[in-house]
Amino acid sequence: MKLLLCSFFLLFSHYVYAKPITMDFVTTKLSYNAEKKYYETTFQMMAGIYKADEKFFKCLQKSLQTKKEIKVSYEPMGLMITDCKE
Amino acid sequence: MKKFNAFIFIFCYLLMTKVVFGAKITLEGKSVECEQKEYNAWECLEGNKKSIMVMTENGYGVISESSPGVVTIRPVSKIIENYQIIHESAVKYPPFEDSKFNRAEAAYAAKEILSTSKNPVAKELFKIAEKYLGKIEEVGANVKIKLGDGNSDYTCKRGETRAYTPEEIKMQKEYKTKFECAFFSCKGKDPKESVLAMIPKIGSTMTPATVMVMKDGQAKLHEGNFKIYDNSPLMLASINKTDFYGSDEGSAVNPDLFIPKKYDQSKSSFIYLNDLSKNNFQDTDGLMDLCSGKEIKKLFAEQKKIGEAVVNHLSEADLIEFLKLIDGRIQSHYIDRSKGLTLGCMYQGKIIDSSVMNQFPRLEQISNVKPNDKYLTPNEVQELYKKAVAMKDIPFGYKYDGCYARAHLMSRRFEEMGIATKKVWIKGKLFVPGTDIEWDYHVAPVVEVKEKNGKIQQYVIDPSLNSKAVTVDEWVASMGRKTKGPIMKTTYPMPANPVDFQRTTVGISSSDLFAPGDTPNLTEELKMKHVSEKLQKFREVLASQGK
Repeated sequence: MKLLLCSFFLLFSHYVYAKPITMDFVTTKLSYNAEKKYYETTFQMMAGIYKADEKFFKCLQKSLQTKKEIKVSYEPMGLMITDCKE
Repeated sequence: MKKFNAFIFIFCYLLMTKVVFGAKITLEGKSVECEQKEYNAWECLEGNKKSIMVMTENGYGVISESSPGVVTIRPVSKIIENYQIIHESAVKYPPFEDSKFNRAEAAYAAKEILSTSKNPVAKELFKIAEKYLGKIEEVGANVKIKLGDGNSDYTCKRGETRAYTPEEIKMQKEYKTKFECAFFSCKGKDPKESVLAMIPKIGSTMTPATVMVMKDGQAKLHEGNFKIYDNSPLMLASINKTDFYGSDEGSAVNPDLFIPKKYDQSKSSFIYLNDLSKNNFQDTDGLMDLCSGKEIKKLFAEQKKIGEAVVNHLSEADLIEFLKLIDGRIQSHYIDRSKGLTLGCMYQGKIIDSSVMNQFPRLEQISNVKPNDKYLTPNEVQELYKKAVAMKDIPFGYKYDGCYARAHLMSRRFEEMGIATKKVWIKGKLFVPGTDIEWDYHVAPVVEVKEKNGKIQQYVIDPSLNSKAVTVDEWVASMGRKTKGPIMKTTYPMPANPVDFQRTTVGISSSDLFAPGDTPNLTEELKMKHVSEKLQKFREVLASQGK
């Protein structure tokens, strides 16, 4: 029974959780949404508006200024950025 | 004779080493001798007082103890080394003005620059700077501001500071600092004027002091050319800032062109209020949030009202598209129409910069859409929609991003079926109603349909958004828009900045174009590589969701 429950939870979590996607992006716009308290950013070619916590601001801003690629990880459902590396 | 020659040699050697490592500098119009001691430290002698010349962000500066316990940094205008001018400042910096703000700023800079120096003079100056920073005082509750015009003196009172959160109490203890409302309400001779000043903490380099003078629904932001006094004999601050918002020749578009002519006399106010409007008139630094009290809140409300009028004007401003070659791509931006008309030739109602003229064949190729001579019937277009839905390798259910990949693959497949296909682009602050999906732009394939009355109508095939093939107008209407301005019809390349003017743009292009901006180096092979990579990732996302 325990094994069955574990398998069920494993399967369930697999379905509701989409693992983060990592891609190389160039930032094209970066602005703060004071109402929602996060940064909104757009990337070259991409259509979605991505969301980022303040801790990723410098990384995103650097790409905006240098027009160089950064490695961005984000949650595909909601487009919340989870990591940013130069 | 040999001894004499040896003497001459040693004399010449000593003279040369002195010349090579020594420098004559011009400091505040006077000539001063300096000698290089380290990579970034020249020891200078002014009278009998030693100082240190260093490289700074703005060129070269001399750090010295101007009065007991106080360090200053004075800019160097010229350096002559080995009979050659090795540095000559292009900018004429104003002389150091003694104030509490400038003393703190100099102490911070000296501490940072001299921290690694082993030179005894530099070490002594470092200690003085460090000691000074340890006893910096707070700005008082009452200050006086004198604007540079000489006629405007204001008496200012600090706004009340709201109650702290437990987190803020903890942070103040941890960083040994005091959080205070940095805004002051000011009163001058003119009772009609409302004046809001922002004065940061002494030594803060984050946000410079500003004075916003509001009268009759107009605002003027002073970012420089004013002095602030408190009750002590030493001036609190002398704010000197030149208008940095000048032309930006070469790469990007001159930022002046984005400012509607109406605001040319108060560019800084326009930029400031426009920035505030982007965050719905809430400040990002949390400076305003710390303030409470009726008086200061009234000034914030007045500033917001003027800012909202600026935004409303922006949404109605008379604009024109300006095409310029930037980073090898033909880029389009909305600019003020009256400023744009003299900038180049007109093409398709847009102004073309001379940089684009050399690329004119490419511009013609990307901005024109070939006319069609074969049309679908209304039934056929709905059948085509069903065929698109049946393309199971296209993850229509993943709506957060990837429209460009879906649109490109669908377009190519429709063309393989012998159907002439174009793309429709929409750019703005878009969202899908009832969801958290937000887009900077959206794109979908378009086909032409001959309706029963003989009228040719463009239909969009977009299974990620619509449940059937719809007209372009219906497609646009199925998206939400967060901007208050009108929808502007345009041609490719799509303007990069419609949201800055509260606009949404819609344009139709050939099916070859892949992104809203020009992508000259993107071959069809690369486009298809992007498509397959992105769609694969999005299919995986949907699979993990059980969809």
